[in-house]
Amino acid sequence: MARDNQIDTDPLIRMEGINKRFPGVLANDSVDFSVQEGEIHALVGENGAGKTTLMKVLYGIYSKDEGQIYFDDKPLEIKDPKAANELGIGMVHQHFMLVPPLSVADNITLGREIAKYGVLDREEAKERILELSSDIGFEIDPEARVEDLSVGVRQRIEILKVLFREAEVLILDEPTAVLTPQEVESLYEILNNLQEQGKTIIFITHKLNEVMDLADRVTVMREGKDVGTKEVQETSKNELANMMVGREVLLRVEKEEAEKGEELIRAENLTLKNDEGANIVDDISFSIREGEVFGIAGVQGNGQTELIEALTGINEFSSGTVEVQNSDLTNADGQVIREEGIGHIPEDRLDRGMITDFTVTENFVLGYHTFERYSSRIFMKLRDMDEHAKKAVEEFDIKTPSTKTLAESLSGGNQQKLIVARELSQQPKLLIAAQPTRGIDVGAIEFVHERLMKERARGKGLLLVSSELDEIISLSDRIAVIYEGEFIGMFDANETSKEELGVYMTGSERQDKEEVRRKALDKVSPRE
Amino acid sequence: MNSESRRDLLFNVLMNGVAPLVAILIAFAIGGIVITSLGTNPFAFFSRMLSLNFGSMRGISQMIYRATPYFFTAMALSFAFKAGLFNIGAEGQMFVGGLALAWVGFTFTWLPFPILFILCLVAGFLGGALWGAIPGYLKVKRGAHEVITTIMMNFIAIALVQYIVQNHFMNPDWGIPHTPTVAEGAYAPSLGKIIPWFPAGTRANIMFLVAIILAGLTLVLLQRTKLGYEIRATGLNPNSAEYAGINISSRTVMTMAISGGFAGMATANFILGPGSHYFLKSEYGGIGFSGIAVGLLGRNNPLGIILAAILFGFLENGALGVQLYFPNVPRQIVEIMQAIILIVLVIVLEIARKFLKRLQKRG
Ligand SMILES: Nc1ncnc2c1ncn2[C@@H]1O[C@H](COP(=O)(O)OP(=O)(O)O)[C@@H](O)[C@H]1O
Ligand SMILES: [Mg+2]
Repeated sequence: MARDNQIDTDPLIRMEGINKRFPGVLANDSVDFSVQEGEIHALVGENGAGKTTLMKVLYGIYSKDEGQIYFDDKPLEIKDPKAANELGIGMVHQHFMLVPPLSVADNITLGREIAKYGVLDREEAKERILELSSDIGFEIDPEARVEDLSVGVRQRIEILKVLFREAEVLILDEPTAVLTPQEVESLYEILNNLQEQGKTIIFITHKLNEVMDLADRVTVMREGKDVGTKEVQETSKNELANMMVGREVLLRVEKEEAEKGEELIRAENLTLKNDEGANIVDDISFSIREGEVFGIAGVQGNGQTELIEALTGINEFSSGTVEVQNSDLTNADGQVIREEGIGHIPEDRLDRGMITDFTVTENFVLGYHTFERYSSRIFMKLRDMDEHAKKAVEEFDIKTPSTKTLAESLSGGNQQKLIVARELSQQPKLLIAAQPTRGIDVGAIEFVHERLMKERARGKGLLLVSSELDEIISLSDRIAVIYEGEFIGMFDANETSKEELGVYMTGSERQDKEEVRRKALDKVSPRE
Repeated sequence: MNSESRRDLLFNVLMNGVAPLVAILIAFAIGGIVITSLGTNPFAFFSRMLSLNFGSMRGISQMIYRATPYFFTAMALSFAFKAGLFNIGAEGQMFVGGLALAWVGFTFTWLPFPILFILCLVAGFLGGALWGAIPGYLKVKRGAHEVITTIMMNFIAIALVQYIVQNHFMNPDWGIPHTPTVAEGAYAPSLGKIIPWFPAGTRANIMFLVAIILAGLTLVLLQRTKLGYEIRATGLNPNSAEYAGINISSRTVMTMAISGGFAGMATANFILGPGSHYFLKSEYGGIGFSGIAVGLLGRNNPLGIILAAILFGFLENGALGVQLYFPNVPRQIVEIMQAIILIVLVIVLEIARKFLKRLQKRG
């Protein structure tokens, strides 16, 4: 794709011909990038495109191999983050860098302590923090301990930390990746307020909705190069997606009519109590048939994780029954559940779905390692394992140097593909998938969606949990909204909208309990 | 991807090769300084040590004899480590296993070799395994951290073993508390009987070969068996292991048991090998604890552990012999050096890690 950077007059920051090489990759390949004072500039691209690297060069964490940075049209070297701070550049990293046992105020002032006569002036610091936070529209308790605070609040602390250092330019690396939809909303507000105060904001993302909602301009990167900068008003999600991937991408999923077959799973009155005796999963019933996708929409933390983990043998229900084609699988062992043909794509790929210190091959049998195909009574069948892995790597187009590579060196998208490939290659009749596309880029999302729909067309069943409403609506046949552990609404995917689901997800509305249960169990007429 | 594998190689060489060597060199340097300050020429001292150990087959076999038990206690540490557990209890597991194997040896006296010998080893393994499994069980059932419980189990084992020996097995005429001697069927043959170039009757014995075989078996267990897969999975990421339907509680207990079992066989070298043939508690003190250092120095890799154990055998055997020649250097110089190796190793590893990180950053 041709570059079509508009001529940028008087940019605040201009990076020209930036090259940055890591062993084996050219992470930045003569990248040009410029930012106007006071704008919100989105930096998008697939995982591994070089976005973080470019920003770390700007922030002085990495030293560039070639190229020039201009600030206010003056060429200069930014040799470390301290130099960047002095120029008024601050960065909020993808992984937070807070000290959990310390207070909010101590975290913010760390390294920039306010002292009077050589003694810490905590009162003064607190006042500054309260002032800064109310300026951008939120409240925070400077004395709270960071470890007691949610992810969303921690991110605000990171932002305050940067503002406390008097930053005029804020770089945010994938700030929304870790947030719930509500938290994303308030982050938008904060960023808008910052812009009103005249701050300049660069934010990295790979969610195109966010670009459209928030940014003034957007720069797209692909494979280390910048592919172009656009005015957001003059571009579209489709165009950006194509620029990111370098080919035509389908943002909407092709969903064919699938023949619905027999009932695969029937769950009734599932309840799961936590240690305090509260119902985390509260009297949930549903059924799924062959060729059907049952979606569960809900804000994170409303019981969906617990529901899925108890369905797949990691956790146990306190009461209720799960039947899979007439065999009772209530609280069955994980191995038994897999043998019955139920696959599971867990929501946390690194801390559930794979072992990063295992090889690709070893990860390919995780959970299936006791199957006769891969092990005898005592020994693993290493050759058969590897053969299986090689075939699946090929079929699912997983980018890895070899099957002996450790999974930790794969990119996030390829790690996710590995998990999806592992589960699908076992040909489950029912697949339980939680957030199957979280944190992966458009190309990989398209791939996962296509594969899932292919399974549906083949008459497999799918239980899909996602907080992406677009995903839920476009993949599902029936959708349940979960709120505080309960199904509070049932919808036909063709007859509902994001807005409607959104209202239910916050619990502001609910349907009749019996009605929900009846629809979830797919019964045409009421019982009795 | 060539550069990636080159980076991995560099990592391996630095962390598993250079770092331990540097630690050893620095320990010798500091040891040398101490020896100089005592008015002795360190080069003469160390070259005497070298010739005592490597100057003759007798020296080599003495060194091997001293090295063998360290291998077992070091394996105990490392095996648990592979499963993400810190077994600091090799000392206690060694005592319990030792008493168990001695008991079998002096109780079933009518059994012939090698049946009794093998039964003794099994008993040693089981004794240590029992003592290791208890902290594993407490961790799984009660969440008690194994570092704390294994240390406490050490104290219990030391007292318990002492009590049992003094009150049940000891003959008051012996003066020092030890058990009756094991029957001949339990004797571990001297290496002199098996390998022609070892001096006849050397105290180095078949337990050294058992150690090497065990190292191989451990590699096979971890890399090629289903149990090993599950143990590693549990150690590397218990959440993902749980997802995979692995019973992490049972794997934790089993790992601790196997780990303890290794330690339980450590004293077979002394009890079954050529020598007094009884369990004498005071002779083994510290071998369990030193195993921690040997395991770390061997970088938790069976081959590395054999080398590290031999180094410890070298120092210990050398210390015993060198006293004759340099009476003003106390024998404890060796313990000081062993401690320095450990401390320096930890520091050097940290530096190497930082260096590699910087390297990665600079690209
Ligand atoms: N510290 C590093 N060492 C080696 N390779 C790196 C390092 N940081 C990034 N890379 C590589 O550079 C490329 C770009 O990475 P990155 O800038 O993190 O991408 P993005 O933020 O767009 O996802 C990737 O191939 C990545 O593997
Ligand atoms: Mg990044």
